[in-house]
Amino acid sequence: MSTVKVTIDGITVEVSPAATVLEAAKVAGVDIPYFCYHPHLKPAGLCRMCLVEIEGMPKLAPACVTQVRDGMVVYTKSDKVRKAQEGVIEFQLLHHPLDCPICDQAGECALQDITFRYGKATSRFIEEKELYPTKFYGPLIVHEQSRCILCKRCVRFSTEVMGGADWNVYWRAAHSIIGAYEKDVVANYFTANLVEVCPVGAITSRLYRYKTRIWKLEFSESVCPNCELACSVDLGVRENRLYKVKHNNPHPTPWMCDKAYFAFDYVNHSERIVWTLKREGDKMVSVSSSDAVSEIASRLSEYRGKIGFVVDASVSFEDALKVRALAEALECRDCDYRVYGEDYLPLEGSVKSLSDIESARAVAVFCGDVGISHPVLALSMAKAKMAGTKVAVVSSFDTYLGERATEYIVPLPSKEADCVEALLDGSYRDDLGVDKSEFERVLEIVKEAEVFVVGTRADAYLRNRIKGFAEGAGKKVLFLNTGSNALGMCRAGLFSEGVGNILEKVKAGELKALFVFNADLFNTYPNRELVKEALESVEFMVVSDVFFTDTASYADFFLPATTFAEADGTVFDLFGNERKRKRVVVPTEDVKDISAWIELIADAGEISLPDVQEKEPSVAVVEKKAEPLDGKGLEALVVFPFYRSALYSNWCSKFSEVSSSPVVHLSLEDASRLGVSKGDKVVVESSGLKFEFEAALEEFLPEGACVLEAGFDRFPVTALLKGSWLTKVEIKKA
Amino acid sequence: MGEMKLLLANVDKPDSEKLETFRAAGGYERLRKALFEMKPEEIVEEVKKSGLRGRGGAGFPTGIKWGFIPKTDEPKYLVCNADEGEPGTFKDRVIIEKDPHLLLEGIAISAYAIGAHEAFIYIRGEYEYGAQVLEKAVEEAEAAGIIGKNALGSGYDIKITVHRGAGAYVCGEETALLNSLEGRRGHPRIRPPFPASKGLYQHPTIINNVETLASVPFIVDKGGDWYASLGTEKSKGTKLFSISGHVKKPGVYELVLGTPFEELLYDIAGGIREGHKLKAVIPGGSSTPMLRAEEIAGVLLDYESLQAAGSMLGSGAVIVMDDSTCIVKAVYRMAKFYEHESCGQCTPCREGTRWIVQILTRIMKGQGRMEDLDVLLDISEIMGGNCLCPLGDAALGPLVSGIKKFRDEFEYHIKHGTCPVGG
Ligand SMILES: Cc1cc2nc3c(=O)[nH]c(=O)nc-3n(C[C@H](O)[C@H](O)[C@H](O)COP(=O)(O)O)c2cc1C
Ligand code: SF4
Ligand code: SF4
Ligand code: SF4
Ligand code: FES
Repeated sequence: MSTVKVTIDGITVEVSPAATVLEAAKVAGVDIPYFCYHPHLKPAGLCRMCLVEIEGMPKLAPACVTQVRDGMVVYTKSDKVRKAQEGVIEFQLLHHPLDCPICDQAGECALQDITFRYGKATSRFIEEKELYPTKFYGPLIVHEQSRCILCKRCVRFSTEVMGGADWNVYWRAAHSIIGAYEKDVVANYFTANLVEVCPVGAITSRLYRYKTRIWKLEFSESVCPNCELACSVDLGVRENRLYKVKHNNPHPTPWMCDKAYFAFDYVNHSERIVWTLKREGDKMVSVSSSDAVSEIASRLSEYRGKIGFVVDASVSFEDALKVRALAEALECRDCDYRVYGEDYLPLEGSVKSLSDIESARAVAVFCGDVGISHPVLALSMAKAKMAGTKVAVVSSFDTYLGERATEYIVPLPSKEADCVEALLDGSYRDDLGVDKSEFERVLEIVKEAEVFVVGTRADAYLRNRIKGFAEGAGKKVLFLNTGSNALGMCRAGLFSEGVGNILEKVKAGELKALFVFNADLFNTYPNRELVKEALESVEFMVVSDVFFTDTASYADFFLPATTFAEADGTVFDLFGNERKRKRVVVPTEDVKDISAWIELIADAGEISLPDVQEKEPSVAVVEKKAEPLDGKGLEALVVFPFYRSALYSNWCSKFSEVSSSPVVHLSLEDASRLGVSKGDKVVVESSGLKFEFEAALEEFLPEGACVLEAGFDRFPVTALLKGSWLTKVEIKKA
Repeated sequence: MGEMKLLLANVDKPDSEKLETFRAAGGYERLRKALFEMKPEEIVEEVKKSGLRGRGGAGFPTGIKWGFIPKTDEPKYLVCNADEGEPGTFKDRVIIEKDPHLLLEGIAISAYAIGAHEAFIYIRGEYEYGAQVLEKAVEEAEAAGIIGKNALGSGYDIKITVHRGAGAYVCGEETALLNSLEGRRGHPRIRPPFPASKGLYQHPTIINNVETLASVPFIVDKGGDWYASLGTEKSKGTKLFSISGHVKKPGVYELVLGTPFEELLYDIAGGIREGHKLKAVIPGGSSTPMLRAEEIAGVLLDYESLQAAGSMLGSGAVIVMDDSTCIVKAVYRMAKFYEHESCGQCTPCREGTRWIVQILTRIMKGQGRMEDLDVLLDISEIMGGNCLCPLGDAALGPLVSGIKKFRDEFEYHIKHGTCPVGG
């Protein structure tokens, strides 16, 4: 590619002819101040802070939107430029409250920094300032219109990147205000980015509100532990407390989701158990960790060959290997990470990066709610759609991508997989219960699709089927897994025949002891009855976790575990890339990572841990499951809502407040038949159990289907389930 | 020089807005000529020769603008700017309400010339009657097979759609207009790209004023050379002037460009009210600098003479102020207009217009300070040329000229806290 020469303040640089003057200045090392420019948003030219003088042009030009020309000569410090810069700053400050001492942005505020470097010391403004009241948009963000410089970065994020988000400019002229039109609560999975793109303290985080000063925080780069995107995060710590998460390295995209930004306060939660506990009758009492590990070690020798190991898929690869080493040393085969009852192992897909998806002509997404399971992936697909990629979504419940897709069909949950199969077969069937013309339109995109994205609800049978089809048709596939390190778990060989199988073996007495790492099975496993029976019959159980969960209450020993912020470790992202977590908070008291606990136990019991090798998953041929869905009433899919789907959501104050009570999503038809309106309390009943939910009505849901929300503390909806996340329930108005 | 009726030839006839009336006077024959006897390039050539300049305010040569349309086969659009929002301007309204078919004929010819098959008339929301007249005219002309599919049997398709604005002055600015037409917020766009390459829906688009387009049939009829024989060296043809304020006969008059200002003021518009003297005029709409009474002596109404006199022809909206006018109040009124109408996108215009109003309000209340006048001029300097669209500059015309030319009046307000003329 050819380049052009540009001279900025006497420094000549060669840049691409597509570059802007602002970009060229960055190359030349010349600082041009800006407010509205953002490297990952389309340039807008609004704030006029970046005005520069260009030889041969009568007027000053905004550097952020002015393209370079060969031989262009630019001055950024001439008197004319200086005057404009001082003028723009003076203008921006006219009605600014100058409340930096109580502003959370202070210290990383573009207005502060630029005023300091480019502004005049005094103002000529003696009129009354027009100020606005503070507006809280729900638990996550707060908006101070008075501090807003109307750069529209937040609006541009909402329209250019998210698309269709309720966040815009209202009114006009100096009375323009930014905000949501319909919503009082702004929590759209990507709210974090509004805070981060805002160059001033106009949009701030309620989690961080009045907590500390940015310059007191020390930031280190790590990885978000909440999904397989493994987004880069910068963790800001002060006095061993995690206060803030930023996203400076735009990997894998320039954006993050609310899980990374608002769901980390559990790390320093006061309810964390940092002491080693031991059961004494009905009580758990604190014991020294050395006593605990020697007792555990001595009990383990009794159970050689009869111990099950259950590990959450968010733990690091090193920890997973260590668990397997212990299992092998004790001649145990039953270890698994699939705590949500998945029957599938990660299949290696052929998609190697997000750009494979973003550059595709068409993409088909099956069986999941990618906005919840892999938020930033859904964001990328929605953005690709706006740029011209056709996106088809086939999902019984999708809360983000569906409404942004080119085509979206919503089969009954029991028909979801059949519908995908029919699309692969290329022929419509009446029993699918979906509209024929909608099906045909989706089919067109499925045919054209270069990439299939397979969501977390697709089972092993369907995954194999899709993989086979895609290979034959020369399409790329991306398989999504629950948990942030399923690939790592699998490589570490931490799988047998599923967590359900382990629980059954415990229940049957074939396994007599159980290790559970970082998982609350009562919350995650879709059969509460089985979990309960297993944990009641197990002879010896060790739980290592961050909080004292329902599962932990059955333990003989509780070993306090580290969070993602307290241990170094490797994870593998959805493309199979290695990503490194970093220890930024020093564990207190007895808190230790899994590897450390296992080494202590092994030392105490003189167990020699073998050097375990990575294991290839065996791709077994799986039969199609044909379990009829019996019972009366509506088909009910149980899902974790976004704001209950992050690690330890129940201990994330602001994050979980967005989803404050469990909701049942009903189709308009069923709601009207039941006489239920939005916000009503309804009773959901199945096999003698009753739960109260709040009703939400969804236009897109088909008649006969409802969706129940899980993941709430002390709200055991998994009791309704028998091994699958789909069941049948009867619903009445409360 | 003086009055000449091309654009206004029909407007006083009974039922002037009807198709029969228009046809009886030779209407749509120019379209027939264009479609059957001329190639699109030939029309562009004639318009270039005619020297016709845009009548919306900026005076850009129309033929040259049309020449920027790329010769590709992507869709192209013609947009007629009927937003007419500038205070003092009410000339397009006469054509819209009284001779809508003249406008439609001009649009159809111009669309043909630039290769567009779709044209939009963006009319300000307040012109509800005008919008109805236009819609009726489109219906009539379509029913008569004049426009629409296969216009006049020529094989050329032209669809004309009337679109109502929602009441923002800034939507008269061509790129804000395009956003509004697309259903977006009426915020001006950054240029480049210019509408001629990426306009409506990112396709090549020409935006012209009502009067500009209504002038095209005469050029097709009598030729560019004929049109260019009217007027002065750089200002060709006739132009509508909407004269308002303290004259005896305010209204819309069509003059050959180059007519003396005083002829319009004293002969055609009947002169200043009895017992009063001329104090100042704003010659081209609220965005053009005002001239003191003595500054108009010998000035001609054309682009170059008004520029030489330190103002602009603009949209031809002459606002006349006699000696009963308080200049501070007049400047305040106009400043208030721009503060209200700024779209708020860019910092200098948004903040500058508000600050100007705040200071002027204080001066009007008798709480002004001498240094305020320099602050006002300095605000204008920071705004001038530094805004995203021309509205920011437009806001400065009357303010800067008002302070520079009537500084004594501002100072009087500041010193005495009252108005010297009791305004
Ligand atoms: C703030 C602002 C308001 C404008 N309002 C109008 C208007 O109401 N009508 C109009 O024809 N042009 C208006 N213009 C000028 C248009 O942007 C554009 O230049 C014009 O429509 C081009 O047509 P012309 O070349 O035929 O004059 C306005 C410009 C600005 C900056
Ligand atoms: S809220 Fe922040 S990002 Fe949005 S326009 Fe205001 S200053 Fe810019
Ligand atoms: S997309 Fe996944 S990895 Fe990225 S921030 Fe959200 S939860 Fe974390
Ligand atoms: S100059 Fe005024 S009207 Fe034009 S873009 Fe800027 S704020 Fe909007
Ligand atoms: S950064 Fe260029 S105008 Fe805002």
